[in-house]
Order: sequence, then structure tokens, then C-alpha cells
Amino acid sequence: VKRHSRGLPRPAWLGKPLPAPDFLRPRRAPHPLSWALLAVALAAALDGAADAVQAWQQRSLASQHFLDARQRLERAGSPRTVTSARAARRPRDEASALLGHPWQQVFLSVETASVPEVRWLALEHGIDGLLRLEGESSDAAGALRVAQALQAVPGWSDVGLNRIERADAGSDVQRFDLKARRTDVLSRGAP
Amino acid sequence: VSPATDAPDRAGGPAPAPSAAAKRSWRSRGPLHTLLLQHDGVWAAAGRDGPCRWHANFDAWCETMRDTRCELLLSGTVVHDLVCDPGLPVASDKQLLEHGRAVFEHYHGEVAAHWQLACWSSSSQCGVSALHGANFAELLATAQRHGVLIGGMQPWWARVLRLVLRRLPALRTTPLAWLLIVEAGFANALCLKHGECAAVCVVWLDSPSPPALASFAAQLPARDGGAEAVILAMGFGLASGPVAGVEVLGRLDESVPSPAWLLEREFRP
Repeated sequence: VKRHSRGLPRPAWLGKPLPAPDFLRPRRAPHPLSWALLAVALAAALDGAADAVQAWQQRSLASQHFLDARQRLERAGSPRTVTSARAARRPRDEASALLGHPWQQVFLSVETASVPEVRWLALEHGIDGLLRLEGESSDAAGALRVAQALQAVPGWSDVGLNRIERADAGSDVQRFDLKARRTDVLSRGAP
Repeated sequence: VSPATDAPDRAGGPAPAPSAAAKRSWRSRGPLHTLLLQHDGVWAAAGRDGPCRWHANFDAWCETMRDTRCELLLSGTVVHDLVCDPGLPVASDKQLLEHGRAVFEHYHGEVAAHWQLACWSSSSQCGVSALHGANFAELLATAQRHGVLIGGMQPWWARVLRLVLRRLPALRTTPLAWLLIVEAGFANALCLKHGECAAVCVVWLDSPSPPALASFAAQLPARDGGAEAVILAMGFGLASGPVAGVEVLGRLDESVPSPAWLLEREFRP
């Protein structure tokens, strides 16, 4: 069983402790580093308190700024309020447009334009009417046939191959990007 | 004075309220006087160069040195010591003091319940000292009555051990050494193992003479394993003459203790 210690090891530079019984202080003196540790702890506590005071002041300042800004807004009148209402309504409109989009026609068009040697890798389409297709074809002619077929499908315009390149070195497989635009969206969005 | 608060619950009543003089600051009381308290009187060091002076008791010294400050070194004649086994399972000073109290009561009876205790520890050892030859509460009350502040109250052997190790640093690596602290016909024997206090023994010599001390030294264990013990002696009150088998530090045949063995700060080897 080890004899008890005061938790901290004694620094070597202080030398070995010698017996120092004192009947005025029956229990032994504190560890030599106790005062140093206490000073460090106090310094840390003071630093923390200073940070807390600073944070509280910043919070008060920010709160005051917020109140000032709100008062300015109230003084400015209702137009900003209308703008804010429009902004709040925007996500709801977008969701409605997404639900009403003719997704079935989009997928049907892509399926119609497909040829057997093409394998689709990705499809991106949004309510803005833009379609981006990424696919692989056993040869470059397959990609061109797909583009021509999609151009022939009613409702699509501006069909073009943006990129066509060999998928892997030593392979004949071609990877391509194809873009198109729905004409009904164009006409609907036109002023 | 900051009276001890640990053991005096069984050492007498509460100390009287400090007088106005006692409230004076510690440093404003002039030089620190060092006293060696024996069972029959007090030696007072008057600086490093002057000889120690004898007083019949602590009260007599306080009477002549009112409103001063002092530290009390306690002779082996008024202190019992217990050096504990290094493996003693104690978790705190409180437990160590309780263990010491139980041991002292076992060997000395009910009277030990009122002794003032103090514990100590070194790298691998710990122990408890008991003040049996003077009433702790009376010492405090006496000092307070005369406006004297007591800054420390420790066994003399602890001070001597510190001074000897400062003077002979090689003792810290000596496997076994005995340090004899002689007070005329009485001696404390400190067993030092690699500079650590492993035991504190007391002996009343047959006579305050070198042969009596040599005879006692010859009975001490002379070996620890293969290493031969070093036996040192210091103190006062012994008759003149060489002490066989003992290396003497300073002189043993002075009639008064040397201030060099009392004063902590003014000691120069």
C-alpha cells in the first residue's frame, strides 16, 4: 500500500522533502506548488469573468441594435412588410410549380428518344424547363441519334450535345452530356 | 500564533482571546528568537555568535522578552516519536494523526490522549511526533500572556537533520547512517537510510561521558545489507574525550548548545 500523497508530484528541483513536524500546524504544509496553482486558477477565473462581462456587454449592445433596427423598420412603413410577405410566399409557390410540372411527359420524351446502345447515367430537370442528360453510348453515333430523336419529340428545343468523350482509355464507350429545353415552359414564362 | 486546531480538542480548553499586543504584526517584533525547550528548562539562542542562555522555563524567558517573537525547538526529552511503516494505509493527515494517537495511547496510556501531535512525511516515510513533556495549551497561554508570538514548534531533531544534510549532502546517498543528537545524558538516535529518517530512538546514557555514548553507539545496527553504517554525533553536555566509533560534528563537550545547531537561517558550515 502506498502512503498517501497530496496528489501532485513534488518537483525534482525542490529536492527531497524532509521531516518537518510542527505542533502549531499538526497537519503538513501544503504542496510547494499549491500557491502557484492557486494563482493560475485565480488568473483563469478572472480571465473567464472578464470574458463573461465582455460577452454580456456585446449582447446588450446587439440587443440595443436590434431594437433600433426594428424601430427604424416600423417607422419606414408597410412596403417592407409586403416585400417580406412575398419572400415568405416564394417557397410555397415553387413547391406548387414543382407539383404541377409535367414530369410524366419529360420521362416519356427521354424514353422515346432513347436508342438501344445508350445507357443513361444521370438526369437533371427543373421547373425552369432545362433538361440535362448524362449517358454512355457504345459509339459516338449513338449519342448523336439520341440528340436528333429528342429534337424530333414535340415540346423540346435547343437540343445539343455539350460533351462527348471516351469513357475509359482503351475503351470504345463514349460518355456524353446532352441539354435541351422544354418549349412550353419557354412560352409560359415569356412576358 | 495560529493555535493548532487538529488535536487540541483533547488538549485543553480554548485559547484565550489574543491581546492587543499579540495583534501586532509578526515582523514588527524584532528578530526571531530560537529556543530549545527541554524537560527542565529552556536554552535561548542569542544570535549565531553569542552563547545560548539558560532559563528555568518558558515563562521565565517570556517574562524577559515581552512582545517579541520566537520559535520553539523541542528537545528529545519532551517529545516522543513514531516512525510509521512505509506501507501504512493512511489516506490523509487526519488518519495518520489518529493512528499515531492510538499507538501512543497503547504504549503510554490515557495520558497520551491529551498530547499535542504533529505529523510529517518525507519521500518514503511518515511519522507522528507527540509533545509529552510540556503542556501545549500552557505554552500558548504563557506566550499570549506576555505578548510573545510563537512562529513554530518542532522537534529539535528535525532541525538538526535539515542542517546536517545541508552540511553533509553525501548522507542522502549513504545506505545507513545513525545521527546521535546528544543532550548531556540523553540522546536521540536518528536512523537514516539514504537520507530518509527511518527511525527515531531515545536513550538515557549511563553518564554524560564519551564511553557511555560510545557504548550506546556500539549497540546500534552497524550494517544494512553489505553497507557499513556511518555514525555521527552532535550536541552538547558530554564530558571531554574521544568517542570511539563515532564521527563528531562540532564539539560535544560544550556545556551549552551551539547556536549553529539551533538557528536555521544563520547556519554556515
